[in-house]
Amino acid sequence: MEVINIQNLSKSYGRIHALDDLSLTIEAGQIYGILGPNGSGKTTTLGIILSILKADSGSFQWFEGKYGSNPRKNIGAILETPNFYPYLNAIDNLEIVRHIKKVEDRNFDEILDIVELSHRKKSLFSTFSLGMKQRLAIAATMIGNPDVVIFDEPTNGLDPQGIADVRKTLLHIADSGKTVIMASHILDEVEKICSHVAILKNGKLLAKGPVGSILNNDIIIELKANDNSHLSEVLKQLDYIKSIEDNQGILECSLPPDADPALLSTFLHEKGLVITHFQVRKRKLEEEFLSITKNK
Amino acid sequence: MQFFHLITLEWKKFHKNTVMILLMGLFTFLMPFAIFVMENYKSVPPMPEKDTFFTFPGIWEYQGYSASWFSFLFLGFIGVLLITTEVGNRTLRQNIITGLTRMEYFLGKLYVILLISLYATLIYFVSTLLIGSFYPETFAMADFMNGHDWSTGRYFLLTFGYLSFGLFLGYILRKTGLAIFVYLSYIIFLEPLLRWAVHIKIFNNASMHYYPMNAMEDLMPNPLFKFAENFTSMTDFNILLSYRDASIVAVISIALFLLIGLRSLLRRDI
Repeated sequence: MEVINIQNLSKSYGRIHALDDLSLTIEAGQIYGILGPNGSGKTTTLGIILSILKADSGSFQWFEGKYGSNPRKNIGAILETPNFYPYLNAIDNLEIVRHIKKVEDRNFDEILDIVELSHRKKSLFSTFSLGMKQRLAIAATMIGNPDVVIFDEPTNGLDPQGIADVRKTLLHIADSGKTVIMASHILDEVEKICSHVAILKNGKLLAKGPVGSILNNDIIIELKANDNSHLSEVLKQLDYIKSIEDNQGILECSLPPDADPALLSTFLHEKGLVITHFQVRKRKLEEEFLSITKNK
Repeated sequence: MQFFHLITLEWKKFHKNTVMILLMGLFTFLMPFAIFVMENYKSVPPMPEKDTFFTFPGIWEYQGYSASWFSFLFLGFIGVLLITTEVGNRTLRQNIITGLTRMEYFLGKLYVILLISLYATLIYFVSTLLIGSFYPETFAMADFMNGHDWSTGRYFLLTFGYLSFGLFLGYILRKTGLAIFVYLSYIIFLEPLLRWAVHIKIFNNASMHYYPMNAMEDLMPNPLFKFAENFTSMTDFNILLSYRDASIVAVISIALFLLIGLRSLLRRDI
């Protein structure tokens, strides 16, 4: 089932095109990352599909129209910052979310356990650290056990322990079979958690698809020789090497996923080159991201 | 059902908010007794006798005038804060994300100001009844409705008017400090300035009274104004609107405040 179908969304703030003709479909069960640098339109996209921002043009439909014009009771979402009543405690704040969603179950112990806030459930929200606030927001998204949860930069501003805690919770939610939509500018986060990714820059969609296909599975072989310029000459003779980039004295060669590194090693040896560094690795999302965003 | 759902939601949001408790508390405990500052009043002819303030029928007007200040200050602020607190904490935005529609959000606030106005009116009615009946230890309840002249209804309308104006400014301006500043300066300076320095220069007639907040004030005017009007006149026409006209202007103003506030909530990014 389609969880959301986004068609040609655009939005401007004055002269700035925050979002430019975005179309995207997210299917049930996907862990969908929306990736892009700050100001690329991630939060604008989420704001529009959560009905707090008005699009200039375009449309979107949740759950193939199953819940009509207000499907948000069936979605758990945080946008930008954790937003709660500072003068109320954790339980009172969760109660307000429960009330709005008209969920019967008033017991929040389990979800507070998951985010490890049970010991602070009677503390005022204003006394929480940023990490605790973020975790309470994640707890709030679980009220009513919605099929879809949305997180916007969930680890933004947290310390390393906070990041680790939040990621653990996110993985826990992702494993439970829910559809997760997550905006992030942290590639590592998306790579570790998401099954699918859409890459945005300046409001434009640059690429979308399964994380694997965006990564395109190319392998990178890092090479260094005593004479790098000679090495580079030799490598250029090989047509199965897609590209060669000099990264601070290390030549990074991109090869198709089925290429055999052993053949390359043998070939270089036969050419009489002394290799001082030889490492095979997968292409990183970061490189993919930079290569995509650089050209557009 | 929806009324109950939305009003309990608002209760859960605000019943532990210190500022709201303080404003409601001050209103509840100060408003009924403020009239007693007139205890030390010494009558100088042609001013009315002291008893006029505390006995029927005069008390309906004097207690109402006194109470109107509390509606203007304490309850009007509540109208502003009902919105700006939630914009400031970004809970308006989160309420919508969580699943409230913008219309439900609007209705929730409307129900709150309606209930607060009814509550304030009840306090006004009961306190007037008690003071008027037992002052000074003479039980005079038999003719308590004498001179009532719709004052309970007028007080309800003016209170609802101040609250609607507060709500309206909250929706339009969104920031607490700014909205409170505009609320006070519009009522105290801006509208009187507009009426007495601009309007009257262009149209020197009673049309200068047909302004929203002046109408709220004229629903429960200072009774001494009416008294003074018999002796002197600053203008060639009455300085007060009739209750009928004040009510009509108030109802139209309230409708506009609420509709513009709703329109702003429905159309803008939040």
